[in-house]
Amino acid sequence: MKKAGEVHALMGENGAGKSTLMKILAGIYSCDEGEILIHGQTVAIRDTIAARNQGINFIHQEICLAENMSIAENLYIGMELCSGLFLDKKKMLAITQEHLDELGMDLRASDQVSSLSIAQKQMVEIARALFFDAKLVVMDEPTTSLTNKEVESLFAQIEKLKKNHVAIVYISHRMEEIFQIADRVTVLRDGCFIGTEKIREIDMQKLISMMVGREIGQERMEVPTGGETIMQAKNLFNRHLKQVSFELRRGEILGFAGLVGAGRTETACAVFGIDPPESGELILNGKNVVHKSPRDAIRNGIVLFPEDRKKYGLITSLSVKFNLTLPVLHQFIKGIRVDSETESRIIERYAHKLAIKMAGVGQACAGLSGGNQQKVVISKWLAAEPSIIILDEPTRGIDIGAKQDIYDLIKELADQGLSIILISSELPEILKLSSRIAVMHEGRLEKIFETVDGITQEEIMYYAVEGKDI
Amino acid sequence: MKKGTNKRRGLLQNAAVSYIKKNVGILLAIVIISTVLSILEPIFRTTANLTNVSRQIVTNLLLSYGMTMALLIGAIDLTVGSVVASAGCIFITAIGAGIPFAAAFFISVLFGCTTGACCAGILNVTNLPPFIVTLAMQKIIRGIGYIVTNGKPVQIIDSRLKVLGSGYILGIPNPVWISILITILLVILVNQTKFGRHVYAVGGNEDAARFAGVSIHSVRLRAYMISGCCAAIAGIILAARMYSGQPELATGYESDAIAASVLGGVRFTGGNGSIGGVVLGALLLGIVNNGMNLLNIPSYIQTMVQGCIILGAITIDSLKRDKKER
Repeated sequence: MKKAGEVHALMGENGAGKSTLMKILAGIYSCDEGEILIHGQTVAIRDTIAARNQGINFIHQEICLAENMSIAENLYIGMELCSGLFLDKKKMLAITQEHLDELGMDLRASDQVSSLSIAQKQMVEIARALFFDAKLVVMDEPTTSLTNKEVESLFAQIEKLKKNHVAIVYISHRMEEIFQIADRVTVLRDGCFIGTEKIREIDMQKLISMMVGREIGQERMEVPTGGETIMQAKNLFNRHLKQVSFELRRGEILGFAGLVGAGRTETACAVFGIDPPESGELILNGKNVVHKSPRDAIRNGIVLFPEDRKKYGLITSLSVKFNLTLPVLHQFIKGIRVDSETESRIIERYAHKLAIKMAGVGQACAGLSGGNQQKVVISKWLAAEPSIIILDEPTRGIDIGAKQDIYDLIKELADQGLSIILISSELPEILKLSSRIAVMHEGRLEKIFETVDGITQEEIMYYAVEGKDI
Repeated sequence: MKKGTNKRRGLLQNAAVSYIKKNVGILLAIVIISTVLSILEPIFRTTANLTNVSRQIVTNLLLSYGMTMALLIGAIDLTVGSVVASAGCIFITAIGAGIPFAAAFFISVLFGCTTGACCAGILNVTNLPPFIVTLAMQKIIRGIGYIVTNGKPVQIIDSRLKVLGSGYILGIPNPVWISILITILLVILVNQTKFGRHVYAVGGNEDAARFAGVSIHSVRLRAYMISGCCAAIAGIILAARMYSGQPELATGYESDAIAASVLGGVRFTGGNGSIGGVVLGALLLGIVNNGMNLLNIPSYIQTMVQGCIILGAITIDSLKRDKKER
């Protein structure tokens, strides 16, 4: 479906399946069914080297370069040139430099990668992808860390590649780029093919309506509208955030929508004291507070359920019991006296409330299923009896049945008067559960919908994709 | 009243059962090796020899405790050997200078705590790897010992040193009493306090511990201070036994401490191990060394045997873990 000499854009919401599709092309994942045709022939791509031999090259979103090596060494990893027994460093340097010059990149082949800026590293990634004899280049959000000037030079490269009959798959969230560079665009949603359109025959409204429209499993839930303001964030600013301001009311669920990297998790981290803001204020119950570490935030009644629960939420090698009680040790350990009765009571109460399926509270968390691990994380925070809960993608990687359990729990907590910030990439989830919705775009909080009634996925997506400039 | 005591007994029994279960491998090894040694060399089971073994173990046991605290939080402390030497030198020099016995003891222990605090402080500020930082500190701390003594061993005669290093209460050497006391304190600290749980949390998953509101810096500081303190006490005892402070003493003792910890079930990845296990680790190493001495096995063979024991122990441990996880 990709033609030689064409730029084909691939779009879709977070988790629509763009990256998965590309990883199959790259041979990182294998597909269960279906086939890949190149020039009309079925090819099997078992690993990345097979992909490269087919002339498919990748520019990944995250930079994967060996930091301690030079640009030339990075380009030649796995295929170093030798003269006799030894590396032919001179030749490799010379060819690399020629290549960089050809691309119009202001880089020296002998520079160590660790000394480069992020944008420059991205350029090296691009140079590496174009280094091999490519028939198809897949670019996954290549411009996220580039300046306008660098984007222009990347686009100039893309034009040049097109002339050389190289096909390009261009994955991006940025509408203006898609309209500037792409010839055709394909939209994916929930892993399904939605449609392919010529870019000249489509406008932004149409594109957004293709991207959204995931099925809402159920009617909107009756959520409380919230009372008085409990927390206020004013102009939070750090390297990820640009003057983020919002307020949170008692007993409401404030949904945070936006694309990956829009700054939602970063806002949560700033409030929770993991990545404290450089400037800006946080006002809690009318008092100015500073959270320098999660410890401060927890003391003030704020807890965060991190997105990556294995990395941040659980100590998987230790028992359910240990994990559950970690934030509330002070409730039953005084000095050297452990009140085991209180400890058991806490565990009883929360482990059973959420019906965690386990062999016993002594079981290590590593042996639990994803849904049950998530329940342990939630239980441990509920035991801390917080007043504000921040949930970062609480249903990621969880099956549908367990999802509904978690929705019910979130609603129940809000009904009890807890204030909840719900970060989610699934718009239906946001629409279903939120009292109000905040939309972020590239580090800014672009829009707060004061009511959810009558708001469509398209409207939210519009702000998430475009910001408010256009 | 009666019900309460019953319950307590039940708890103690449970604790004993779980202790034996957890350490069944090393307990078996100790029993088998002791039996074999008793048969091969009857001197082994004499009271005099067993007393001797217990006294020899003390130094390594105390160092292993410190090492274990560092390993439990996912770090390492290579300074313990140097702290032994320097704390001993400071202790003897202080007494020689006329400082009261108790004060000299206190100063040396304080020195140990300070070195630990320095290591933790550097780690907290710089985020450098613990291996490198404590390796550098190892040299610095040993240097302090040389400066204090002017590079030569210092000797004094003092009857109180004899009581501390070589005396007995109820037929048990005083150093052993001290180590029993420290063992009890540490078992309580690790199992009964918030700090103890935080230690396991930090070692198990530093990020998750931080997210749960644990102060990594404070846990690290305290763990290293305990390590320094234990090492200093070991140094004082050793110096008292020899009536001298020797700056070149205890070189390489950190590797014995690592060996005893690992034998006792402490994992290098952090968050896993117990004080009770380390006691057995140090005991096993002590018995093996004593047995090889009694059997007149040359010292270089002894070193190799120690290496083989460590390798064997961690291999068995990792095989067990693989099986469990599958």
